Amino acid sequence: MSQENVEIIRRGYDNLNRRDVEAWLEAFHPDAEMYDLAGRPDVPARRGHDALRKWVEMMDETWENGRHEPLRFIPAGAFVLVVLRARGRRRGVGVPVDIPLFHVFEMRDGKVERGRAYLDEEEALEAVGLSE
Amino acid sequence: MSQQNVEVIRRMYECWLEDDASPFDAFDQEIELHPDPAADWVGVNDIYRGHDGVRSYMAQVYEAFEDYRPEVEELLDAGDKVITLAIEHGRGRGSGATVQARRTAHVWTMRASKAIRVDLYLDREEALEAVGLSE
Repeated sequence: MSQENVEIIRRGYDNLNRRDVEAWLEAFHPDAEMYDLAGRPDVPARRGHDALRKWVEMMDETWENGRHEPLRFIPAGAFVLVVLRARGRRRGVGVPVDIPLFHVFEMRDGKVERGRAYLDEEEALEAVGLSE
Repeated sequence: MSQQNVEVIRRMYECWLEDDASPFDAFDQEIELHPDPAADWVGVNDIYRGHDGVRSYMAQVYEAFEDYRPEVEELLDAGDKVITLAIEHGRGRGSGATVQARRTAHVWTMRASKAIRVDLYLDREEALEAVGLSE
């Protein structure tokens, strides 16, 4: 099951980067919860497909050529940890961004129930129970 | 003039991150770099002076962190100062070291379209307070 989860998530990034948003949403439960950056009190949870569509719109308003490029998928029980780079240019600033991110997806019945993004690798490893 | 300062600093980061020209063009010869006193990597000094001082500081950062990069989230115009809100990230040297990231601020003081001083803050709120932009 964990390898199937990895494939679901991998396809999700392909669909997101092509901006095939409806295909991307197929990987998420209708009431899925997503957090842009876990642990930041000013970042609200996004719940449900409409909120996720708005997230993509917000990303495209903020970033020029914004892309999530997954480098490694680590299955861990009900979780998939993705090591990735987020690349693009912030509109209005114009300086290139190339930042490592760590996405943690909690899966249920082959779909994402909850997703969180981390800047810090150790926090992401802790979230999936892989911290030393 | 202050918008011009923002553009000088924006261009400096662009050069730095794209390696397409010297970011030092934006710096006065007598620039002073003031690290955050709480910065804890080995060998950090109180003040680094001039272009060589900045180079020396950067060498220490790259020595402490593999793949170090500052990502610019916002550039704020504050008169003779430009404030960079950044996410700085890198992997600590040594086996098993993980990627660490921190939301930081750089406060650039400008004169005649060149940076004459930069104060580095590990805590953004502290930086905004220092320039009177805290909420």
